[in-house]
Amino acid sequence: MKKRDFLKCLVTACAVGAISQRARADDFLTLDKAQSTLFPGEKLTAVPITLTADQQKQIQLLSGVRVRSETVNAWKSGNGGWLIVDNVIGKHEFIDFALALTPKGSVKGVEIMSYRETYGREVMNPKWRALFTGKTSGDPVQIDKDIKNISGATLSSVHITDGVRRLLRTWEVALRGK
Amino acid sequence: MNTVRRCQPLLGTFVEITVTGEQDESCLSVHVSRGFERISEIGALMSFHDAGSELSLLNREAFHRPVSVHPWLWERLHGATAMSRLSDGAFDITIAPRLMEWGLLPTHGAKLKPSGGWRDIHLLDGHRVSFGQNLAIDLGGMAKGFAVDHAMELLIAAGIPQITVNAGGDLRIHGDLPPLLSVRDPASPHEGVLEIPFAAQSAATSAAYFSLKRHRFRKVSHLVDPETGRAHCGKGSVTVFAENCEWADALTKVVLFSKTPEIRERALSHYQASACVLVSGKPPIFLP
Repeated sequence: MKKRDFLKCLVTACAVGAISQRARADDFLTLDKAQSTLFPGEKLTAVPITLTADQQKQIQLLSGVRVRSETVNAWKSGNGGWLIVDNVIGKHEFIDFALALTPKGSVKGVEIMSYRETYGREVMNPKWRALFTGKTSGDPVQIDKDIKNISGATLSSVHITDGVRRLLRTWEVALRGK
Repeated sequence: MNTVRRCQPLLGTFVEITVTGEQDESCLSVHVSRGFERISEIGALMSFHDAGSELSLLNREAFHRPVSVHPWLWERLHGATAMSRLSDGAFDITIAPRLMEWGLLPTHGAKLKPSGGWRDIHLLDGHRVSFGQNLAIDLGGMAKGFAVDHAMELLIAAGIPQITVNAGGDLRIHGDLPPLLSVRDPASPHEGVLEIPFAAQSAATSAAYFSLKRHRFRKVSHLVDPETGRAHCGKGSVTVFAENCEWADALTKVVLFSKTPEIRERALSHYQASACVLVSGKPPIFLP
């Protein structure tokens, strides 16, 4: 076996080992519900945005937060407000959230759409995160979806605060005036 | 029956509200929004992190002159000092300078040395407060518990029969209580849960596992023993069940730091509360 193949096998073995762990997933709002909750009774139009390398650099510089994706999932309301659906990755959690902005680019509301939490570092792996979308049924991840009444020490939401700061700058750099 | 379940990042954590009632979903959602607004309002008033909050104003000014505050804040201070008295100082909201020193709370430009304690908080008439020492107070979990209680009252007043409000583990239920509460397993808090019987409508848990960090080669956490000034870094958790979340959260510190079992029992009995201590690998201990 070539060295490269051996490493590939090793990485795959590690990944399989990692995804057999338990994880907790909570779903709060679908995209439709997030839209109707943050912009009740308003019609939203999808505005596909792809950030240029320069824009990504600028957003990163202004917000101090790394830009992971060039795609912005944005919708515009009739009066010039915006809805952006994005996600943040913490050390143990992966969170989808929806941010509503006023026409002047200030925060109108933030709703958590789904929340996934695990012990291991596999939260960084996009393939692992995709397991939760239901596309790959039969995977060995044991997902606890029934745990509703959970108590424990306070988990910080600082990643969401960072994500919102990044999106406020995204509006400034790429959405304003569109 | 319709159910609406939403979650917002508030009070520095994740706040979940679940309501079930006969009203249509959009109507239930409007009530949930009001609940979130109330929580956000209380957070803005009592936040240590926000330099513009009334609590921050108090921390800046109350040593120099009496400061008039919102009745809600005054009442929290009144309740906090009553609990300090009853627990012989096991619960103390003046431990903030330690947390500032360890980088677990913002300093807002102040350089404070730990001095004084809960006895130096003077509550005056007309909802005014003054400090006998240069204190910094942090209501922490108590403010979070109060926010949960207040949102709950708002939702109950709207006639919703089944409500759950959970602010990062400070959980209160109105309506049918589930038989079991899931508590994060202190051995693997992101992964596992342990189930314990639900003993009252409000529950709060304190543990060091999410706030542990190193400060000058020493392990520290947000849980500080007011007597010694040292951080609690143990691998366990304390869950308290009480009539409301505010007391439940504050009592977790009483259970952790009471000097004697008698003081702990006295405080739990006074607030008609009970507790469950979880330590990794050991069976749960129920108090009293």
